[in-house]
Amino acid sequence: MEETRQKADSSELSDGLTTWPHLVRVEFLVALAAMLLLTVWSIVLDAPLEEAANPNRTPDPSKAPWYFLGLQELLVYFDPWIAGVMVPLLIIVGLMAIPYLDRNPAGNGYFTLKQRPFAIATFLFGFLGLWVIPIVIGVFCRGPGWNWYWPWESWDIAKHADLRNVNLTDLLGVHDATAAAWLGGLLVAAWYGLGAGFWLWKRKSLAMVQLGAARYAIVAFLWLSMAGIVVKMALRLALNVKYVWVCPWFSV
Amino acid sequence: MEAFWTILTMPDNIPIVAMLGAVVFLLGVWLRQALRHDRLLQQGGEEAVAEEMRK
Repeated sequence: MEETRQKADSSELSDGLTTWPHLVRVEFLVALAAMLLLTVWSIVLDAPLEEAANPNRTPDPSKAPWYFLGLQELLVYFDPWIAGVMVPLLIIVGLMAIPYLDRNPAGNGYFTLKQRPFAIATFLFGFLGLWVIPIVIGVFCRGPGWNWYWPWESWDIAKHADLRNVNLTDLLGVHDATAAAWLGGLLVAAWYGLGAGFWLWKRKSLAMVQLGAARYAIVAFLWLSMAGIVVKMALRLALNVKYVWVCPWFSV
Repeated sequence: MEAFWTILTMPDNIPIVAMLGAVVFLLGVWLRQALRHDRLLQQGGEEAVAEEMRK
């Protein structure tokens, strides 16, 4: 084993390190530490079980475990088929696509900010903006009736948030259902059209040529979908916008 | 702040409080390392960076 390692370190793999033993050894130690922590934790702390369920006294707010609260928070802004199906699906598919989309080897094996600004910004936007922050909002800012409470506000079960949700098309003065459906569809198409516009603007740049049209289309779709979630959240929180696009079959 | 403090100290929420601390700490570690490696690479210190990462 030692001979294999030395050979790997000194010859054809001199630019890198072998997974065994360098990575696996550290992973094993971390796994042992995690098991030790969980064992001590489970012995020292009691499970936070509550009393038996009582249909006459349901909890308000009823919150999912903290790691699901980001998805539960998305249900405020989107219908369940988007928040519970499409978004998780896009997250999984998007993460699976990264190795095929990102062909830039810069940053492999060392830390950098200057060499990978777009990749790092995308990661931070997705992880912090779309995962950590919705969880924090769900855990700390949602109270009775799933109303928004700042941390310094007291929970008041008699508080009725004066929310009158409206569709974006209503805000724009279009009240006819057919016209609103067309306008909403156009707005969503225009949002994704930003990706096409950026391609036309920058298609001759080195980064775009290296990326290629197909990979760019997937990156642009995923990026605009991520940003679209934040835009919809902002529209809801700031203007009480319920839907951007309402049509007979679905609403976005 | 009473509701906030209650949420913060709930046993169920210990992991998220720990996670928030870990996110801030690890982002700080990454940023410090990234800026240092960028500075080293700019000064032609590829070997020093590679050697450090091999340790």
